[in-house]
Amino acid sequence: MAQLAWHDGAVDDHGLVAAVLAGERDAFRSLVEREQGAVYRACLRILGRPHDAEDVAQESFMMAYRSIGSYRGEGSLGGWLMRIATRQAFRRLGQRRDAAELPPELPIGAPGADPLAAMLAGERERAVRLAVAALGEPYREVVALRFFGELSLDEIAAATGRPLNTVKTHLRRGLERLRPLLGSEVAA
Amino acid sequence: MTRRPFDPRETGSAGGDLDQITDELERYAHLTEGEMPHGLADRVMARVAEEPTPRRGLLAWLLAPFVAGPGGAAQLVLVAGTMALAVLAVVLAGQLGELFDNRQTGTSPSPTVLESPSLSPTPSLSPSLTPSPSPSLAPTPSPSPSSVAPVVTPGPSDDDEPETPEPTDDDDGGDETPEPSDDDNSGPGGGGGDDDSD
Repeated sequence: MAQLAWHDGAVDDHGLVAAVLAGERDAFRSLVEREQGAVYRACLRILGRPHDAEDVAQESFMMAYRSIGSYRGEGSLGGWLMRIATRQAFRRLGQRRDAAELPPELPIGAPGADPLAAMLAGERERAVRLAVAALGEPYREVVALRFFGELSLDEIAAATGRPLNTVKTHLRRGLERLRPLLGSEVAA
Repeated sequence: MTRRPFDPRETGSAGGDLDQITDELERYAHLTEGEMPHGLADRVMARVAEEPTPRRGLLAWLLAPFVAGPGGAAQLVLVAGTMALAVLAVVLAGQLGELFDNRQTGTSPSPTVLESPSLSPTPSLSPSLTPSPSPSLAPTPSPSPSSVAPVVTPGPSDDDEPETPEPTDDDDGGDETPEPSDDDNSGPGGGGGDDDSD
């Protein structure tokens, strides 16, 4: 009865969490299937490499499963999960930069384009990634959740536990700090 | 295009210079809307199968009734009751701990009160002392007013009614009794010693 409900999307986040905590692993599968696209895309936008993005997305789901009991229900489960994923992705990016910064194998967004255009597109993508990653907290988190995680400002406010106006301020300041970093790229 | 295209009004400003930045971020997000890797959910669930069932965190459990809607009322009562019991337990534990500490080290306060009566018999000691001095010191009533008075006076004081005030002073806090009693009241060493001997 309840098992059918979460597959239909009729169960809210609290019901889903309660089912997972009750040992219903299928409930968690429905969460994974519902959120995997957004989580993977956010990781890809932060990391720039499909393989790393998939790895981090998988790790984020595992982390969410292990700590789902700490979900307090203040925001959507998707927002809570996205916050985990973006944090994990930035952490991976930091580890990668500590090891060696390598350019992505191919530009993500321009497969099959001519080599020069592909190279330019790749450079621009890389500049955006690094500029956002270079932001300090909490600006980086808010910008990443908004543009890479596709969350609304209301969802970000709920997920982070900050007032909406604070989130707006953080976003505006984050964008202002990106301007000198991306200004030349944008002008180009 | 993302699920939610950015609207400059979201930041509460008119946009302006930031439009270029937000456009760049939107374009980047649009370009990276790549294909999903196949089987991601299956791989996640395969790993989940090896994991134990997660447990609800304490903080989440405590806050759940406040966040959850109608179903949380019973749990709210339960949480409130639990919190009240916890507070009561902490208060009782604190009092017990204080009592225990007093018994261990600072017995001085309560026993002092109890022992001062037991020491009050010191007058009985003074009589015991008095017998010996009284005969010998009886002839020396005059020295009693002298400087020796505080120490030796007890004897003659028993003999002389008018001088009894001094022994009574001793009883209350004079020279002989005072030392133990003072120790009892203030000196932890003296009080402790008495307690240990008790």
